[in-house]
Amino acid sequence: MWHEVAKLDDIAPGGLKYVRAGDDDREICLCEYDGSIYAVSRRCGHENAPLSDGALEGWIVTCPLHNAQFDIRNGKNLSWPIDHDMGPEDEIPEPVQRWFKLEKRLQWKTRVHDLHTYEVRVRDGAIEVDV
Amino acid sequence: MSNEARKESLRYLFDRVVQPLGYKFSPDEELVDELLEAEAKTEQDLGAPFCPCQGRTGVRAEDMQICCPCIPFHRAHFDAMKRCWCGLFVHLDVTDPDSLPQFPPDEV
Repeated sequence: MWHEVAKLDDIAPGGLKYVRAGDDDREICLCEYDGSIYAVSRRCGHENAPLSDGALEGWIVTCPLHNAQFDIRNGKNLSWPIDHDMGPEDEIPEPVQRWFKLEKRLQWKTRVHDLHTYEVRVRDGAIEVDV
Repeated sequence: MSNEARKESLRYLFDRVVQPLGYKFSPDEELVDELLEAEAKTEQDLGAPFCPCQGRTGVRAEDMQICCPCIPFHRAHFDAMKRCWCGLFVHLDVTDPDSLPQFPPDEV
C-alpha cells in the first residue's frame, strides 16, 4: 500500500530523511541520489543504528555507529563494520579499552544483513513509499 | 557481503576523491583489480584500506598517511611520477601507465 511520507522539497540533494509509514509505523530512510529518491530501512543491517543519522556519498550510505556501508539502490551490504578510531591506545583509560575489546569481539560475531528496500514514487511533489 | 561488492564501492568512493586532485584509476585494469582486492582484505583485517605497497610503521600518524587514496600526503612525490606509489592512480592525461617512472621521494 502506498503512503505519502514527505514532500520532494523536504529532502536536499544528496540528503537523508527519516520518515515513518504503514500500519506498523515502519522506520524508513529516504535517500536522494542523482535526482531520484530511494527508500531503505532506517535501521542498519549490523546493529540497528539509525542510518538517517549517517552519511550519504553518492549511492553509498554509511552507518554512524560502526561505518557499515550499504547500496541504497538495492540494499546490499558493501562493507564490514569498522570501529571508530579512538586515537592512541595508551591515551584511553583501561576500563574503556576493555569495553572496546569486548565490543570488537562481539561485533565480529554479528552478521551484517542487507537492508530492506521499498518502492518509491513521486506524485505532485509528494514522495510515496510502498509499505 | 562479497569482496566484489566491496571493491566496487571502494572504486566508486576513491574516484570521487582522486578526480578533483587530478588523478584517475590506472588504465591497467588487471593491476587495479589486484590492488583493490588487497585493499579490501587489508580493510577487513585492519579497519582501513592501507596502501598494499607501503609498510606500516605502527605509529598512527604515519600509518594514516598511507591510507588509500594517500595522494594528498605525498603530492609533490606523486605529481613528479604522475602516479601514486602503487600505480593504482595516475594523472588524468596518462594513457600508458607502464611508461611512468617510479622513484623514491628523496629523488624528486
